[in-house]
Amino acid sequence: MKLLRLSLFVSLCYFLQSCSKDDTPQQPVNPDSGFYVLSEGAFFGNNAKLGFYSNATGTFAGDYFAQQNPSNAVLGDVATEVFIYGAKMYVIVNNSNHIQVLNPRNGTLIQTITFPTPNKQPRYGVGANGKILITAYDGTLNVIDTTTFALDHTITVGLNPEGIAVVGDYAYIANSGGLNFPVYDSTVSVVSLSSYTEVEKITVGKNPNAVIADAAGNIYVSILGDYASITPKLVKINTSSRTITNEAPIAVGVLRYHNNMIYATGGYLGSSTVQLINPSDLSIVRSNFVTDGTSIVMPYGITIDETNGDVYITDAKDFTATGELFCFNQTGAKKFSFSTSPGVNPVRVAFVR
Amino acid sequence: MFTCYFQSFCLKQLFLVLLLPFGAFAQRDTLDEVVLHGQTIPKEQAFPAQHLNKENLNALNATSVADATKFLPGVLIKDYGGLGGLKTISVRSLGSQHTAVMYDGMVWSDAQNGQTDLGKLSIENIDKISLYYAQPDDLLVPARALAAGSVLSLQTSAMKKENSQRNIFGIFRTGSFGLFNPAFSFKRIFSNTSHKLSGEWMKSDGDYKYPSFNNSGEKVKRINTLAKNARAEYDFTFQPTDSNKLHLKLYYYWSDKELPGAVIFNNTDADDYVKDQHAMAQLSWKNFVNDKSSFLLNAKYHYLQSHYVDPSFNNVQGKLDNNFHQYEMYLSGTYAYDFTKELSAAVSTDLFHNKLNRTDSFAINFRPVERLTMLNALNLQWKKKYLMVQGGGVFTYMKDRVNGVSDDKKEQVFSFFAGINARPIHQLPLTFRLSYKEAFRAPTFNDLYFTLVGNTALKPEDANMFNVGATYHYKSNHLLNSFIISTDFYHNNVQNKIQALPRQSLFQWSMVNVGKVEINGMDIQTEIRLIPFRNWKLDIRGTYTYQQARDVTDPAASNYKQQLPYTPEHSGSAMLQAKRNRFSIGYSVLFSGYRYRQGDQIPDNFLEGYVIQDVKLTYQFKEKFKFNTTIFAEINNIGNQQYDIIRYYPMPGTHFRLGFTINHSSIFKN
Repeated sequence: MKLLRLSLFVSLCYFLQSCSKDDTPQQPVNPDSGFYVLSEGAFFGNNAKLGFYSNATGTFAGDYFAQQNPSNAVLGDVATEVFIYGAKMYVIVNNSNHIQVLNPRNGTLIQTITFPTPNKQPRYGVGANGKILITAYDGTLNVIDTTTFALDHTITVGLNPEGIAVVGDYAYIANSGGLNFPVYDSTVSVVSLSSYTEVEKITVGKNPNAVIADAAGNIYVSILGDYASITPKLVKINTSSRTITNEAPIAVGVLRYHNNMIYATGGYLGSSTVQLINPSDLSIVRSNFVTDGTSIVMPYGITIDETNGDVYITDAKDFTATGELFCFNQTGAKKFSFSTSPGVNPVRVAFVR
Repeated sequence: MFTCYFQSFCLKQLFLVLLLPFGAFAQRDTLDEVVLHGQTIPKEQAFPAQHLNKENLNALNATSVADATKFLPGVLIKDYGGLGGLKTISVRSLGSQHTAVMYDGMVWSDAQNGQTDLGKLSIENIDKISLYYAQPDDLLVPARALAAGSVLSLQTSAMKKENSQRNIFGIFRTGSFGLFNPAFSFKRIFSNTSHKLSGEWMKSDGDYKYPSFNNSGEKVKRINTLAKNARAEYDFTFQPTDSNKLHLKLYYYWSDKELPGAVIFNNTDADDYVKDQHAMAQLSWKNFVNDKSSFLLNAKYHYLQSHYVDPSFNNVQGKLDNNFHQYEMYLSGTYAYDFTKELSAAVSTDLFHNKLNRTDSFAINFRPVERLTMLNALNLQWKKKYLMVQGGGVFTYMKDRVNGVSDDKKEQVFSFFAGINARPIHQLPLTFRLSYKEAFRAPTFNDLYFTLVGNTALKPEDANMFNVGATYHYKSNHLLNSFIISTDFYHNNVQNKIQALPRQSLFQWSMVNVGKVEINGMDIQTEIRLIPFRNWKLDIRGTYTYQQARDVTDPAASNYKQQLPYTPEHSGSAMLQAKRNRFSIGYSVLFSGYRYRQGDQIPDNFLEGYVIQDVKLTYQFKEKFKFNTTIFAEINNIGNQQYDIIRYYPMPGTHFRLGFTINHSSIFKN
């Protein structure tokens, strides 16, 4: 009996000790880790902002770019995208017609990529095969080398391309044709990443915008329609057959895929809440992702932390006041939020591990 | 995600159109004013008014009406820079669409965007600028002069009574940034009739330098700024007796302006331009029939064309082209009757029809729009020697038609106005005034029908204006020959303010009746004239405005009770004119306190205040063969203040203009 009690006691001590923080081997916290919040700024406002939330200090610096760079470095006017690829961070600044290349560890400017033509108007991008693929409103997909920053290829796609997703050896680009209203464009371009040429155009519907990929070789495209008689929809395309497998009459803005679920903002004409959509049949799983009653005035961007499934949603408010960033856990309960001031229209988050 | 069909053109033009409502963001009866030594002493008025006469205008370094109106209190001129740049006026923060601009007695309008670009109106042939903060006091005015929140009245020298029989005037101006600006007028006066022909040509490169906005310290030139415009005007008057006058005016204006746009970091692509044409014929007949009755009949036809091109647009055609045509037909009749020596009344009816059409190939889905407006006004005035009471109302009826089809919607609005002017202590030259006026402005064609942004359910914007003020006018034969000080305190309420709000994205906007603005302000204006001393004549004018213009639309919004964008709390001006024999010097200064641009009031949106000083030197040569010539030199912004009125539309630093004028007046012996 005594031995049992003693062993229990010893086990208990051991158990308790192993629960304490000092004993368990911890993942070292990277002092540079945190996440960036990119704010578009106002049109002609020259106030695109890049803020940084540091895990080490637990604080958010609203204008981190200005803080880390000399006063004559400017981010630009209307930034649409930020992503980290390899050891570099790329900020696409649409109206300034350039891409800022930054060091994600400290936010310092490495290079400004400019374009030979004045009305290139870069929109969105991803990294693949040591290159970054940038869609631009002059109807091109631009392939830029990440070491030399040279423009290796300029591929003609459809009219006014917007979103881009890479599946395997191909990139899929939504050609909105937005500046060609009311005709628009109705295709998704398929570009081979071996030959860097456009191999096919898939017809999807008028004014496609966002494109995302899931883990099974499908892409999902948001179709906005013509804001009049042609109503918005969401389509699912199988990339092997390159055909539309599912369609649903949902108006969406930003799309994200994580762990067999699609997260979508309503965008123009759509729901004012973030919806959860089933990727198999495009049915609405939950019309409001947020479950604890937190109200977001204008959900503008969604970014999901792949490591823990946390959902970061940006709030653009009324597009003139400074915005707000919300972080929710996977069940839709708010973890934290903060103002993105002086950032107006926050749209993207990028994680630094 | 964002369908950006508003890029370049639509957004730039839309931006200009839309930015203006943000708080951001006009007639006369010369017989009643006494002109003393070139200084106008306004008659007692129930509604506040300010004037700039030809002498004041000559002392200013002004090229356009916009430059001169900056020297009137309570005025915010949104100046987008350069000689060709857009300049709009907002009086007491009501918004630019609440000001009616009158040109020689006729209201000019732009039914498409509701405002007049004052940068287009050259100061050259303007004799007098009057700003009525509400409306003119005269009874014999068209109903349209009573229907706006404020009236900016411009009188050309066509309305001036001439002593000579032939008058030839020429002016040539040149200066910084490639300015080339000649103008002339030729007037021939007979016993009953007169003819006047005037013309002007202006070309300006406009490529001024400004400090780069990226703090690099380097100076950059403004690009895409070449502006050209031409104006031709013909005036015919027939005046058989002193009390009966017929006036015909033909007016033509043409301009071709490159649009520099806002400075965008690292993006120097600006190559869009706009070509405008404005042709107008107006006929006016004023007759004081007998000592009780008088009438005023007006007719006007005008055509306005605005042709915008963006030659590097990312669409299949590779460009954007918008060619708008506006037509207006206007008829007005006013009848005034004096019941007794004290009581008079006037009734007026105005009827006008506006049409907007579009002829470019991008006009898919555009349907021509028309508007028929009828105004009926009644104006009563009771006056004794030291007391004047005025009151009345305007009934407005408006009906729109789209593509020839009208819906059930029509606007019927009644606006009331009343004012008192009194001099309670007869010995003291101190008069008080109190007034109330309701005004409204209808949604413009852009507000209602602009592709995808327009909202046909829009209601008019209303404004209620209260004013209390006093004027003290001291005259003496000592050093201080004349001293006028005038103060007004006002409170304005704007409801249903039409604003552009972005919908679900930065690139998609729509017009909504959402705003409420509360304005409290104070204007002080003073004029001092010193008696000629050792051949020196000295005039000083100063204005100061304090304005609290708060957005009170939504208590939950972050801009609740915040000052309207671009509206400073403190602003003012001063003008000094000194004349000795043949030499005169004018010094003028404009100052503005700090402002915020649109958005939260964070340091990022802060715009510093500024002080701009100008000097003008004029020398008049001895008259030779009946020709009077002067030469002048203007040094603008002598302090080289770098500033922008609208963020990222920089204004020029120090720059120069010089020129000469020739004037020949002759009276024929027979």
